[in-house]
Parts: sequence; structure tokens; C-alpha cells
Amino acid sequence: MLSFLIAKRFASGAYHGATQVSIPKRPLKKIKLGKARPAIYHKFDVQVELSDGSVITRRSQFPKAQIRLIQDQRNNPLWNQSRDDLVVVDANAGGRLDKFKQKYDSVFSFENAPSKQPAAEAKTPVQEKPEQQDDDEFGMDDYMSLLNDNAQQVQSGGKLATKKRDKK
Amino acid sequence: MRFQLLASRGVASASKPAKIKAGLILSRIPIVTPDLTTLERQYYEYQSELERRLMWTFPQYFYFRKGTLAEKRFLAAQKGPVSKQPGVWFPKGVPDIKHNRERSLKQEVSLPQSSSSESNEGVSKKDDISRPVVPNSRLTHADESNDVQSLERKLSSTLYLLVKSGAGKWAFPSFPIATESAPKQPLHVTAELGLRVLGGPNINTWSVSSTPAGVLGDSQAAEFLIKSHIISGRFELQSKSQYDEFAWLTKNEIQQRVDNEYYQALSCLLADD
Amino acid sequence: MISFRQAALKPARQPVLQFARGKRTKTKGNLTPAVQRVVTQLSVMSASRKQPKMLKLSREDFIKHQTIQNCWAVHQKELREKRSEQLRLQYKSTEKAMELLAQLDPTLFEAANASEAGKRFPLELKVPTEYPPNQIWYHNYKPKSE
Repeated sequence: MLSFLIAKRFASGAYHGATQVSIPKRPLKKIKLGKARPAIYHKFDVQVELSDGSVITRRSQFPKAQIRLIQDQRNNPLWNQSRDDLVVVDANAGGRLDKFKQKYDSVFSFENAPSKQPAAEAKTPVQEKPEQQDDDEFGMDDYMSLLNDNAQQVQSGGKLATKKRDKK
Repeated sequence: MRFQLLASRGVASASKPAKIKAGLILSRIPIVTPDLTTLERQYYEYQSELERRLMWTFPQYFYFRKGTLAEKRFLAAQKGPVSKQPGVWFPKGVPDIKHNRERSLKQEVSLPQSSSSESNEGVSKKDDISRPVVPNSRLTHADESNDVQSLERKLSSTLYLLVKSGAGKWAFPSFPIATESAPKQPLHVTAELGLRVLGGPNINTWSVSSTPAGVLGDSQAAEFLIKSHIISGRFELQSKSQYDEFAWLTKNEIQQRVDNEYYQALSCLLADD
Repeated sequence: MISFRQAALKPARQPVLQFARGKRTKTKGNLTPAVQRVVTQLSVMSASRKQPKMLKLSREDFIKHQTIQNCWAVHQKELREKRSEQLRLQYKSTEKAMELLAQLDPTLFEAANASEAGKRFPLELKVPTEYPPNQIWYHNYKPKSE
């Protein structure tokens, strides 16, 4: 089964990212002991204007002196919960993510999640695959509760990932 | 043991009902970065010049493709280095040029002005997304008029809320603990509620901790100071309160207005800038 | 028939040399465009031909540089000590307040000493920027009724 999946995966050739390019070999330049120097790339001072008009200066390798952000922390409702006068800008409107959200937004929205959750509707196949039931018990709501304001860190004792020395 | 503790509590509360007050150190955190001292400014300048000198040459061929208009514009904006000529004496050393850069100096790359800056006559300036970045001033109107009641003054330093009592003394606002109500409210709750009563409900604050940061007075009458930050909203002194005036002050200004003894007890709790 | 064949052979006998201005005569190996692109990208990250000369300070300049660095180190040390001293005083102040509170009112002491695990820093407090925003302070806050 697994080998079949792997074979299928490779047969389809899903990953086209890397094509083999062979660069002509060049003689390696030897760096003598004590002669190594750090890589200090050329950087420009960039004035970055945040969405609320405040300006910070930072360095960047890209040849551009000024950058204006139109969507950032300063006009995001999550970081400005007390403000009502914000104009919410979506820089990626009409992009791929937006299309995805239009399609599947009901799955990820907080309010009407339980009513439209596909997990709730898909109860019939549970009988066919009883081993999946354990995974479903930790549902969407449990993740939501982790995002709450008053979520507390689990501070139980016990052994947590103790470091073990290699046997050599 | 438990009984003894209870007994001692009972005795303490019965013999001398101590006056407990909850004071509030309400601060506005800085909005802009601190002003640099001369030493800091000069050192940062020196370091940045050193780094510029040691930076590699700007790989112009990577960012501007050959033969494009952007490359032409970029190259037109550059002022090339002085190249080596036979039979010429160079007082500052013979030029050593690689990739159009003098290797013994820092490389000065001047970026071409964006074309949009010239073509924005008709467009309304506020809405033009490619308008040049013009930073706002670090000094505000409140600084010019020295309006101490404004939250928009002294943007680079932390401001603290001080109130003036009827006797003409400046101090941090303090609120007595309500002794009548059966379950006593914690100090920070008393302070927050008192602030709402004193300065109106339209204020958004965040108390750092329920633990007091300091105490004034002795076991007879103690004022426990709670630290809090103002996030948004405004403090408007209500008309029927025991205070006459309020001000948002920096640490230095607080020192000028309060008693020396009061300041010495509190100075470690306040931020310098 | 013969004349046609002669016409066809003619250019082969007299090859025409075409000169193009600016054409490279020395080629750096015949790289395909894909390989050339990779070489360009790698050369951005490599130091060859891009590294400036070493900084060679004269003795006087070196002493000046060391003086500057020492001055900065001293300055930082002063700041550090000032900060740690202030932190120490703040800790003492809190300790004193809590001791007095425990003496005066044990119920308030319990409330002030309660664990605050899970309390979070407010998202709305912003990191200072170099220049202020257009609207510096949000005055029109209204508490949201729950």
C-alpha cells in the first residue's frame, strides 16, 4: 500500500521545483588560516512607512529607498481590538488565498463553525473506519479554546523531553 | 498554628483598623524611539560608516536585468569612480577598481528617484499609494503649546498621570479600599475602578500585576502602588472629585512638582525616558 | 543544369565574413541560459571580486578606534549597572510592600499574591517607531459592553 502510494507520487512528478543544473567546476580558492572575512552584503537604508503613517528605518539589500506598507499590525483588527475607526485593507484581495477563503471560509470561521463543520456531517463513514474516531475527538473547538485569552499553560510536572547523551 | 494565625489576624484588625489605599501609577509608554545622546549618535554614525566601508560591492547585475529601462535609469544615476590612467599621479593612491567600485573606499550607490514623484500633479496626495514617504514630526502641537493634559506630548518618553489635590500637592491618584463590602476587592481592582470614577469610563488600561510595586506610608496609613498602562481612550477629570487638576508628566517634571521625600520613595519605580 | 549547380556551389567557395560590433570574441565557456542564471545567483552570494580592501589602520587611527570602542563599552556598562540597580530597588520596593500588606490585611495579601499564570501582554501596546503615526492617540475609546 505504502509503496504503491510512493510510486504513484513519484510517477506523477508533482515536484518540478529543482531541475538539475551542472555548473562547470572551478578550482576552489583556498582561504588561509586567519584570513577569513565575514560576508557583509551591500545594504541600503530603507524608510518603511507603516499603514498608520509611522516611519521606521531599516536596512535592506534590495535597491529601494522607501517602502510603504498597506496592511500590517497597525491596521489589523486583532492588534487593535479597542479601535472602531480602522479601515480594514486586504492587500491580497482577489489573490489565491482570497479565492480559497471564499470557498472554505465556513470551515474556519469561529461563529458558525459547529453548524457547518464537515466533521459533523461526516458521521456516517465513522462506522467504516473506527480507528479514526480517536483523531476526531480533539476537534476544531479544542484548538479554538487554545486561542482564547484565558488559556493557561499546562504546568504539570513529569518528564518532558529529557536530553540523553548518545551512547558512544 | 492555623488558629494562632487567625487569632493574630483578628487581634490586628480589631485593635487598629489600618487605613489602606490603593495608589495607581498610570503610564503612557513611549510612542517614538528615545532621543539619542550625542555620544550614541556619533558612535552609531561611526559604526555605520565602518560597515559601509567594509560592505561588498552592490551586485547591480542581479537586481537590474541587462538592457532594461530600470538598468539604464540606475546607471544614469551613478557617479562612477576615478579609473587608473597611465602616467597620472594619484595623490590618494592608485585606483583599484573592480565591478565599477573603488575597493579602498565605501561604495556610494545613488538610487534613481522614482518616476511617480514627478507625475503626481493631478492625483490627490493622500490617496496616492506611491507618494514619497514624508515622516511626521517627532514634536507635536502639544509640545509646542506645552499642554500637560495631552497624551500626545513628549512622544519619546514615558508619561505618568499625576493629580493635584485641594491642598495644592501633586501626587499619584489614590483610592481608599472600601471596608464595608464583605468580600474585599483586591488592590488592582480598587485602583482600576477608582480610575474610572475619577477620569470617566472611556479609558482602556492594562494593569501590569495585582502585586503592588511599592508602598508609601507606614502601618497606620499605607498607600500601595499598582502599576498600569493606558492603551487608548482619554482621562477627563470628573467635576465632583477630590482632585483639582491632572497632568501627564515625565520623570523629570514629576521631580520638579512633588516633594523631595515623595520623589525619593518612588523614583526607582519610574522610567527615566 | 550545369549552370544551376555552379550557382549552388558558389557561396561555399567564397565564405562571407560578417562583423558584428560588440560581439564577444572571448567566450567564458558556452553556458546555457539556465546555467548562466545559476552562476549569476551564486555570484551574488560569493565574495569574489566584490570584497573591498582590508581596513589597514595606521597606529594613530588604531588607537583612536580602540578609544572609541572603550568609551562605548564604558557607556554600556554604566547603562547596564544603572538598569540592574533600578531593578534591584524595584524588587526591594515590591518586597517591602508585600511584607507590609501581609501584616496589615491578609485577605488583600492573598489577592495580591495570587498566581497570574496565563495573563498576557496586551496586543495593543506598540513598539516605538522612529517617527510618530498620523493619528498619535486614539481618544474615542468606548468600553465594549459584554
